[in-house]
Amino acid sequence: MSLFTGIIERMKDGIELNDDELEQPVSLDASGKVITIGDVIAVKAPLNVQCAFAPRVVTTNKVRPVTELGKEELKGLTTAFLKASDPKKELGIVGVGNYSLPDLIKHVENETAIGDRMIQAVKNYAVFVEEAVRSGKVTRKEKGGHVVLPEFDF
Amino acid sequence: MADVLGVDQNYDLVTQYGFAFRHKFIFQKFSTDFPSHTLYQSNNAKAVRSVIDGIITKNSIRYITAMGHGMYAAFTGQNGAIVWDAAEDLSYLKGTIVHLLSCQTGASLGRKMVADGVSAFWGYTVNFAFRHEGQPPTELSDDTTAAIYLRMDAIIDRGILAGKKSQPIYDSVQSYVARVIPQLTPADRATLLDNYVHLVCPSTTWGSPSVTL
Repeated sequence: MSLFTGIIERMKDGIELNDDELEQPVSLDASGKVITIGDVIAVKAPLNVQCAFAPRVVTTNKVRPVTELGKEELKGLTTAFLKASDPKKELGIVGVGNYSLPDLIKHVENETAIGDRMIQAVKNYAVFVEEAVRSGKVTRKEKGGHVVLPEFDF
Repeated sequence: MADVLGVDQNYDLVTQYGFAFRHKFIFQKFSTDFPSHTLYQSNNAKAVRSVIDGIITKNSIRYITAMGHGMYAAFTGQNGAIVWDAAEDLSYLKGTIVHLLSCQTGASLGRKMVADGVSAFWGYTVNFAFRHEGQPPTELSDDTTAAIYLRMDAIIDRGILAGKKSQPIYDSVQSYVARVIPQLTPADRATLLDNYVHLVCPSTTWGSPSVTL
């Protein structure tokens, strides 16, 4: 049981992915090349899930779990992850401050406390994605649209 | 029926976001949603130790919900002045439920509060972070990106105020994350997950799982 088992079990249809998100970096191979969600799906998803996405050829020994990456590799992965995110959004940390995308990339490169938090967050996310893929909890995003937040239970 | 203390600050953009969403989700309809409780608030310039301690000692405060800067061992009020420090005797908080929307305080301060008699503690062991629009809307509570994160934290307040034990509240948080996370962008997913995995509560070791307001 991992940190994310409860979340993944409760997810009804799984993570919704559009074509752009399939190219989101979640690990690196031995040569330092980015491994994307699409690559992980091609290697680790159940067959019915693989079939739902465009087929791609990935050699199985190419996909390294993010937990096997060293510090420098994680920095590279985190930088690639951040560069692929929406530059119009900023990150607020309660009581600490506000950070733009270039700010966050600098913090990662300089290995500050904020940068280390970003690295850990991206690492955790990659673990979550891999677990969701293995569980078949990924699905194609059919359409765009805004996020629907559920009502409060209480 | 209980006396409730809310502590909120708005000295920078991030705390202004927290202030706006906590008002929208918790305090705006407090008397309608939670009519059996009495709310005391210590906000902005009044979010300082002398005022907060005064409210706690003069009333029968059973629940403290506070948003602001935190470090592993301390929570600070307006402009960074220390309010609660793990190095000090916090036994005057005995019997209360405490929820801190702040960075890191779940790691050390929360444990010390429980050791000194706090019934239940909810907080985060690392930074609580949220993504928001780079050009914030005029009404910050209209920012649909920031809402994703601050709504998760508000589940804790609403659950406690509704008299729920920790496990149903934690389950509600988990259900919320499970329903929302598939819809998000990767960067939003990573950030929301990071808050979720670092949430500590009485369902783990931070107090009694059976305590209610």
